Amino acid sequence: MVRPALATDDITLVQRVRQGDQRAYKLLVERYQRKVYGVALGMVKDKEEARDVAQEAFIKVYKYLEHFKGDASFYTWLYRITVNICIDVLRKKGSTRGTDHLEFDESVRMDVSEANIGALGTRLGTNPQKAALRRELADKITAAIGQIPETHRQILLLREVEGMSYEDLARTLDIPKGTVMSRLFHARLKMQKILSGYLELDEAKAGVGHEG
Amino acid sequence: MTTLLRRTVLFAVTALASVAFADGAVAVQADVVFASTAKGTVDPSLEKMQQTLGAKVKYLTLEKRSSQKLTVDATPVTVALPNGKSASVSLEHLKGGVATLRVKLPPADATYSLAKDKAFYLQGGAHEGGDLWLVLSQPK
Amino acid sequence: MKNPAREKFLPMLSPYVDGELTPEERQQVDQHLQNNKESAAQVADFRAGDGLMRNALDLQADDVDWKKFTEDVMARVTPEKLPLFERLKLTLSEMFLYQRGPMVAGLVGAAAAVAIAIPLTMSLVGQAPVGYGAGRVEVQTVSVDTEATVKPVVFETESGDAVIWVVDAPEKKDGGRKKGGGSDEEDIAPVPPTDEPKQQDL
Repeated sequence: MVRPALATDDITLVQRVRQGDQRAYKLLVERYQRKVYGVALGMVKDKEEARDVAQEAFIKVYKYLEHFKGDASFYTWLYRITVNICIDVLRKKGSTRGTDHLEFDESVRMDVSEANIGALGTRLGTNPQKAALRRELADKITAAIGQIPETHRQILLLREVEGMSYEDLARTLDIPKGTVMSRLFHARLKMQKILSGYLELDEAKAGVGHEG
Repeated sequence: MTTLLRRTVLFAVTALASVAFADGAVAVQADVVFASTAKGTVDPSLEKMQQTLGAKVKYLTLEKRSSQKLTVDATPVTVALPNGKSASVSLEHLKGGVATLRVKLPPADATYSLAKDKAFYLQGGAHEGGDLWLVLSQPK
Repeated sequence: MKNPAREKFLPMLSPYVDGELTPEERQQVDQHLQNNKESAAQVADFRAGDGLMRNALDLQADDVDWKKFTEDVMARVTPEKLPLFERLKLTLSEMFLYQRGPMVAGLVGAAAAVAIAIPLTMSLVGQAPVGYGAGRVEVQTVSVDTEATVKPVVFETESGDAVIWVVDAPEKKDGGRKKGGGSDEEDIAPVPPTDEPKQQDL
């Protein structure tokens, strides 16, 4: 017997959860848990902490599901909650640098002279495969993400892990679209600089082209 | 689903089988009642009997001396009376859903057809200054 | 960074990578990238960096026991025990959603059973028991021993009952069996047994 496919889009599942259907929420958890964890790990850097944050995010979302109006995507709401929990965790640890750093960061002149331009692309190509990634390097990259300012980190993670559009990012982080563009640019520059430094160390400073 | 159907069919077959089995026998309620014109008590369940017989005899005492449910077929079933007599009840025939019974309670010998919710009263002789009656009816 | 063109296009390289530029802007950036190797290398770096980050986090996610993660979350969001009625409602609703086929089959089976059982039961309840198909008791034959000094008196009431009295018979009569439709109540006067009851034709 062929059973008709059940609607499993986010909004339908949310409606079912509101009616008390636990299985629908399980489907939502399974759908987003890896990505929520990825964002959390990038933000808080510690694996155990990231796991706790991700769980907390799903529990909080469930708890406040009645307040979800449905005017935004479920996932933008979920990630906003995730990011907020991460910020709380970092604040408690005293590792957040507040908004001063952010303002300075975004008003600073775009100076890319220190970046070893082309190092990443030359060594990795434009689409490095997961299979080619070594565990140690993956750990280093995760650590590198942790080095960039918090506001840049969260936007970069939401963009790269979840693949959010600029519009979704603006909605999730409650910032103008222009700020999204600016933050992402700065975040990428910083990541480029840090990662190329890692690669240089990793490959004993193999000759990297740098065009001025 | 299969189990449910199987049970349903079984139920229907059992019900039909019980009807078919009953073709050779009928259930009869046989009560022996002591009746007296002396003032006494009337068993509440015998008020109808008092009313029925009242056209001929005003019984003021009606007591059940025995009560049993018989399964009556061609072989006579005996019902003992406290005055030493005994009645025998047997099925004469069953046609069109109506059973005819033969009741022998010396010196009387009668055949009668059963009816729904109706009773058959047969006087069974004297006893203790009153009368004994054999009352045959549909079991409740 | 002395190149004014590069300075102009640099902020557009990130949205270029993200596919967030308008077609016109994209065309302009494409043209710039062809003429400026530094910007082209920068775009390549952005893409490589994005890929590295994505894959690194994905690799880290492989270390997590996701089955347990889901179970832990679900265990913590399971609501308080609902009232019986709510639980039944929810169970039925979930059964309908996830086990529609078996549930429909079950309902059809139950309906069939009810459809068969109800008429059968009704017929058994409403109908007279076996042998009691008649509306009134009818005495068909009655006799007494030939030696007896009594005679039977049949009395059928209006309500459908039948009574056989055995009364003294001063003059012995033939104790032959009566056949036929029996007698009506009217045939026998309702007289006390002490009186001479009207005997039916025996």
